[in-house]
Amino acid sequence: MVSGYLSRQTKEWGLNILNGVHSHAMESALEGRILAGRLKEDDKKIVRDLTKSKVHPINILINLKSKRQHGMTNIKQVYNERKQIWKSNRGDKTSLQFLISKLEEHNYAYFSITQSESTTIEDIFWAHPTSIKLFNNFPTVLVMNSTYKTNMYKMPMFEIVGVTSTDLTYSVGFGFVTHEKEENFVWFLQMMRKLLKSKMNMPMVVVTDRDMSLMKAVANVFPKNYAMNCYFHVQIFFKQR
Amino acid sequence: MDRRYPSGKKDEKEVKYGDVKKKIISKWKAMVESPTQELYANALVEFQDVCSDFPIFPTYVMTTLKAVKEKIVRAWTDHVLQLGCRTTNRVESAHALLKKYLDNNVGDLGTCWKKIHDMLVLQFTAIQTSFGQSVTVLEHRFKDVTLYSRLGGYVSRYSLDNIALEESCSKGTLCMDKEICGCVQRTCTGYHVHSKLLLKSIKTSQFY
Repeated sequence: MVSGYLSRQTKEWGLNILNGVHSHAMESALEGRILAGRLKEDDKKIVRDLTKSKVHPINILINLKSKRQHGMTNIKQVYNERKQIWKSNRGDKTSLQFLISKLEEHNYAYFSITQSESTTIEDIFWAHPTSIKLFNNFPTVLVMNSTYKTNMYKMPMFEIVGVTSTDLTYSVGFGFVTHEKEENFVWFLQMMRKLLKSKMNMPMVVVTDRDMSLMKAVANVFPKNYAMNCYFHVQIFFKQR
Repeated sequence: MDRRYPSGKKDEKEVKYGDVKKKIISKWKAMVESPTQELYANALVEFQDVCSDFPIFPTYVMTTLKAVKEKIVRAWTDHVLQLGCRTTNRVESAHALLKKYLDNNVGDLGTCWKKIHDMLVLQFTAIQTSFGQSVTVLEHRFKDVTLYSRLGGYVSRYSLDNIALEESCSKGTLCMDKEICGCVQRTCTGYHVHSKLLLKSIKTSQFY
């Protein structure tokens, strides 16, 4: 045990040793220390590779453990490393800047709308170039709906899908909405209409669930087509009554 | 809303609540699934009959249904080129797939985009493969058959399948009406829509 003090007379620091014996013997292993749990360089490489291919952290840890039987790495270190990887991927950009730079890099078509007074982005909609090609070929039926619990901002994600001639589903576009209001949906649908190259090839059927704002928006933007409701959702609503 | 507390007969109905509910739901299903407008009218009468114990409920249903019947009842929706999409199940399955890729709900814009991008890349490969298979593969049952052998490579396998189904149906009803284009048999009954659907899928698949 050691105590430090400042001498009043000499204005100098002094050190007193009160008890020179350590309270316990030195541990033979290094459990619980940062040094023992750290990831070595080749471990980091494994984590990076596995993270790229969407392996869950727990499975990454199992992989590490099988390589190094006596390693003391915990799940915490794997999570930290993954966080570091995401950070270094993004560089010094914010997540929105990163998104836009990536969208531009991959030739996505993207549209965004800002709040009326500020420059905060409210809604963003993007479509993959191949999606646009498919959309121009198969615009007949569109099914649209929004889903929740996809991101940390608690914004609903709006997704539009279509059907190919081989009965497969393709995604037309994705968007983040701040409010599920009619004008937001109108904007989305207008942006989507912009992606269509020929005016002859309009969507003929739009299927939605019984979301009034979306139904109104569909009627507004595609007045000629046939809006259809999901009879299943109507049935659920009916059952609730 | 009001079915839980039907007027006056509360105690009696509480016992049979499950049965009544089942009956009403089955009638509702029959009504929504009715293929023609005449059958729909019949089903509507039956439905009203079942609900006659509850005064407000059928009126509520009637007013709502009036506005949306053309959007949900089979009698109307089957006359539109909807490629089998009467529900939003396609987009729901897409959501489920998306969430499998996202695997948590706390991603930021960058991570969300990355995962969606990976999903799209795989999806497009699958679609491209299905196009390729439609171009190169012709099933044995379609080989050397006047109707189909020339369609191979232009019409997707899925729509060929549908055409075959359509043909057998039209043979069953003995109601053939050959179109000039020679690829789709139109029946004058409910399959009318389906053949239109096929025509469309033929047109679209020719792009590839």
